[in-house]
Amino acid sequence: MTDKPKTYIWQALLEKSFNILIPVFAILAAFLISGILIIAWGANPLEAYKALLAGAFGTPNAIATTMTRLSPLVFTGLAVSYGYRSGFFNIGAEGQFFLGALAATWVGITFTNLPGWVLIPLCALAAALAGAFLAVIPGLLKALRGFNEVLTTLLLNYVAIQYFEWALRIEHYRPDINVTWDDKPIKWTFLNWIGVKDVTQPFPQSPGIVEAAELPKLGTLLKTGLLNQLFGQAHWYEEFVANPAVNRMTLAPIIALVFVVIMYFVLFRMTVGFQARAVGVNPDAARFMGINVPRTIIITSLISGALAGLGGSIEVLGAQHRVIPNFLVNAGFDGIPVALIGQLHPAGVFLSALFFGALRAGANKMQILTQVPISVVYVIQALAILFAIAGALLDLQSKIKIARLAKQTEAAGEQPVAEKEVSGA
Amino acid sequence: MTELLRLEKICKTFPGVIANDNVDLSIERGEIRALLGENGAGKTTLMNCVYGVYRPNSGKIFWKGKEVHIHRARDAIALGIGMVHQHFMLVPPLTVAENVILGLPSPREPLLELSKVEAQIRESGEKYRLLVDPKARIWQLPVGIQQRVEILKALYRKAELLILDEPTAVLTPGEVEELFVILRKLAEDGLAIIFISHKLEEVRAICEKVTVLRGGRVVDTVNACDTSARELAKMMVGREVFLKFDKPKIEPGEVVLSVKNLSARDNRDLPAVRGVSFEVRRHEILGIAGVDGNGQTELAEVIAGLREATGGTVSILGKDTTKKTPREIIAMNVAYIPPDRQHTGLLLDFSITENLVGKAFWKPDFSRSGFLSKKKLDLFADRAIREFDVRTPGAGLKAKLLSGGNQQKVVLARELSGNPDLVIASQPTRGLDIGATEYVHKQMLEARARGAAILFVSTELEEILSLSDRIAVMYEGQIMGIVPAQDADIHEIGEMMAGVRRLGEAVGSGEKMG
Amino acid sequence: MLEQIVAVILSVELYTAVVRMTTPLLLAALGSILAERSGVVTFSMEAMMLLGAVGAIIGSGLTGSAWLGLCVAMLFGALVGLIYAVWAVSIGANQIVTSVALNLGALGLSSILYVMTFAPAKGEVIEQVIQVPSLPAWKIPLLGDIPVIGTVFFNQIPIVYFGYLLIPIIWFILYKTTWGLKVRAVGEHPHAADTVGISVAGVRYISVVISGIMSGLAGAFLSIGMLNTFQEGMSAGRGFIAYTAIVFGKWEPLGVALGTVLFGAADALQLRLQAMNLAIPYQFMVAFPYLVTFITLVVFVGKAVWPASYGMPFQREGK
Repeated sequence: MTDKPKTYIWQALLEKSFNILIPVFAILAAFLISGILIIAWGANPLEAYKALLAGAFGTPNAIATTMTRLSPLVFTGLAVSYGYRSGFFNIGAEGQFFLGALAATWVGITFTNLPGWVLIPLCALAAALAGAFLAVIPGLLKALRGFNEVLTTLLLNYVAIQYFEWALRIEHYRPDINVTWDDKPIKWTFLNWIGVKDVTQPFPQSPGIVEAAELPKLGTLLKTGLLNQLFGQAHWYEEFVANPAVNRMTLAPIIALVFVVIMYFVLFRMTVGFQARAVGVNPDAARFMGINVPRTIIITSLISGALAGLGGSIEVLGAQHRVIPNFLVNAGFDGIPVALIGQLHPAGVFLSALFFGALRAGANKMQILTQVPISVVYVIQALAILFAIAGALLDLQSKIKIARLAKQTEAAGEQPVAEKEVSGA
Repeated sequence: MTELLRLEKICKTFPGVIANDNVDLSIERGEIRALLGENGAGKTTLMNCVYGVYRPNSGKIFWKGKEVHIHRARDAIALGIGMVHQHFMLVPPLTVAENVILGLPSPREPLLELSKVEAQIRESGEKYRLLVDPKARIWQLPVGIQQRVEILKALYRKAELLILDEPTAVLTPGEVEELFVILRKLAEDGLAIIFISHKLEEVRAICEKVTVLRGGRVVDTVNACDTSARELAKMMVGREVFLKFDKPKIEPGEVVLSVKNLSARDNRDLPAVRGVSFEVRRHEILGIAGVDGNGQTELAEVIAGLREATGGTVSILGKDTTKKTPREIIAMNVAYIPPDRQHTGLLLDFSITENLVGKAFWKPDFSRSGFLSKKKLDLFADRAIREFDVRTPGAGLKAKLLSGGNQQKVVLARELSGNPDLVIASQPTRGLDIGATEYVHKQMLEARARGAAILFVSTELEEILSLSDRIAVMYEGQIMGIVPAQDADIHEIGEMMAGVRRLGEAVGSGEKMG
Repeated sequence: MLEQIVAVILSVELYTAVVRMTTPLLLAALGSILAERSGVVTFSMEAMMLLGAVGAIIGSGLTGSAWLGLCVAMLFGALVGLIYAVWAVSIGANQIVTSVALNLGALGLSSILYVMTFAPAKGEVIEQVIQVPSLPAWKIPLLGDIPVIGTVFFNQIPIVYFGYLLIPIIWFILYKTTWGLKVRAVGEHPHAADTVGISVAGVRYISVVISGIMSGLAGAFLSIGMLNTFQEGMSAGRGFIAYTAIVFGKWEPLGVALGTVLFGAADALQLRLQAMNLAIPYQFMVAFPYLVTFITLVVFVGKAVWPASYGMPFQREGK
């Protein structure tokens, strides 16, 4: 019975489409219910949503903002979804994100002489290592001692964020500067080496990273690259490149997209992902198939943490160019709903990060034009998550499949389908 | 005697499966009734309908002559029905008394009062020889004692009907005897008892009325003593059972698996395998018989590298594999069919293809420098599905959507398609219907013909007797004796299963199976 | 500098602040023990606290009575608990993800409700700080007159005293009542509880709603007990801290209470030191309780402590 009738392919496509339909319906329902809240507030929801959409996609500038918001979310979303699929529920993306940002900044203000093509990968590598370092501690504890990673990653978040806050207030070590504490010079230690305080500023923040470490602007790239040679003379191209919004945009969303593709391959086309998913679905069966479960968990935690750390570096290198207290709060925690609304699929993660980024980017315009507060956006997001996870649990795909197979069995007069084990009965 | 429970035309279906089909049953006070049937005959489903775990699709339940509707366990308990499930429904960190009173109002509601419960547990414990310390925590108690707690729980709830689901599965023959004594005592006091079993001998031993179920239907109700084992077996499976295959005689070849003085511990860190030694050769099936839980599962896991050996050695084709990882052992062309295909045999949420390559995806046949070759995977899956006759609309289907028999075919395809040198089959037919069981047996014999050495673990004695070339019997982690199958005497094997060590070589006297 | 630190540590104000910092954590954490023991992760305390905080200010502002404010706070908390239970218990959704969603939604909803209630006109922003009737301090006779101890412990607002009482109350419910036995059984082996006729969903619903009520009360303490006003996101992660305290205390009432004191003390000390502008890295003070919890978890707790069915939805088969 291995022959595939044509109808089967259509049905398979229809079933696959549920992966997209569920979050779409969830988002629509979220907008619908939030509309009631907006009416209660005293505004017209349609106008508010129109302003929201305009704020997110209406102008090149708006699109640039949306893209900036999207990039770090893609990384934390990928971090959470890879971990989740692989049985390592990483609640610590927030802390890993902050450590990654800190590490990238530190590299970006320390190795000031390096050219950009060395410095940028170096910053990213440092960020990935920092994130991986924070994630592998719970990873090791889970793999070797069986500790619940939800608790341990959560706790390390706070430790990491406080460390980040402290590092912002401790002077950056340079061989020519004496570090002082309470007016006494103190010796160099590992801890104050990573201090990133900007001594010229009264409030805590880091100095800006050197220009070479900043992600190239899209406009600059287009003016110099291959495309410029092809279209450089064209009037429309000059206009496009000259647009300030194009100049605001960086490579960040493109890098994010590259990582989406990479993570798709890692998950579904590589042995690493195969083992990780097997452990995520059923660690006992994975072990019985000869997969080294502890090692897989450790590798998963490293990959997940590195992705979250990379997210931090993308924000620093692409957008803020320095770190400040609370520099992008909740980017890590938001990775959880981004991953779940994205149905834990890399492509879905990109789309749901786009949804999150657009909402955050458009919220300001909505408030200015229609007086509807930015807070409504949080409600919309919350409702979308709630509906999406409820919808996913209905598992319509399996239900339809079972119904179809049951019909087939009736026709064939046999019983190849049992939804669940009727144990011992 | 008066009628206590009557079932009329009970039907219960699951998607694609008819579990109970117009079942009628009548139970009287003071009666012990065995419900006999194969795995999948619908025994447990029927009793779950009575106890309110499931609701029948149609049919009527009468209790003391009146029709009742049992929607959930609470209703059944209120009527006076108690059930001891196969997997005990006890809360491990709570004490015996807390478990007994759980869900019932206390005399000083809403306050908990355990002293009266404890006294009552001691009292009925003495009356029915169900001695348990009411203050002990469940996780500290051995399985046999936990079963007593379950019975006490039902008695405390003033049960008039006690349903026991496969109560002997976890017991040694001696404990089974004790249980039957307790059950008779309870019946003398007017309690009605239904016990579910799929073991012929046991049902004949207690010598009461037996209702045989097959394919969800009642075949007949007979008196166990007046019916021969052969007749009962025929009723159970619907045709003559062939207890012996015509398996071709093949001379065993070189030694493939050699186990010397092997010891291992179970999940609770108690000794499970104690100093076991044996050899299995090419073209040979060594059957491991024994009551469930005597170390067979652990033995198989140690050989497969899944469990650490605490002593002794395992060598495969002359190489010491005691300290090797599961994957290193897989790489030595060793197949292992785990006992629980739903939990450890398959990744139910993975596709059939992914399951088929679950043990080999890392081999150069399927991947290069970490990248899987989708083309090669699909090709392999299509071939395996055809060869092993897996009934599925496509290789991309999730394994959980397959029936039990087809799931086991996927496991067999994964394990046997690489022509393994050694096959470790741990309870490969558990929970399968007759057709699927025969398929598994056929595959085992084919692997034997191809030259594999096979270690075949099963708790079904008939299966062991018919399939094996030699039979080893395990009891409390030790091998009581190894006998050639043609000399096997079922009584002697039964004695060994109960812990009587075999002395010297086979005597060859007494009744033979076949 | 050392003298300054000693002065801080010896000041009565510090200990009064410890009590005030501990109380919201204590209320939420202890009130959520039942839900946690029944197998539901109460990661959603943050949302319950936030809506409790805004509920208290709305109730107090509209009725002019701080006591009615408390009632509204508990009602709001209970409603969040109810929604959480629908997802966590009935639908069987992932409890952490549901909680993250609720916490996000509560952040938005609480500030919308606040502005809707107190804005001078629709769509306008609130310019001055809104003040509503707040809870008065009750000095307990005799006990309140003891020097130092009286000031620190017995000259507080009534919610604080309720917090003290909650420790034995929760312990008593858990270990000395049939309801508590049900809660423990449901958390450890829901299937077994189901077969003896206990409604697993029912026990979990009630426990989660209790968690909501108590966390709502904790939120009310933040708004009309401590600051007497509302700020966006004023729970500031206290829900997570309370959760950490539950883990620290190994799900036992006394241990959980100790955990909340540890966090409360660290918070109070950190604020004092920060205010004195000393060159002490107070961030380490904030991180300290988390590190301690992490270490206790890793070194002392082991894995067998949390309820066996923790975070897992229960679904009966084959109905």
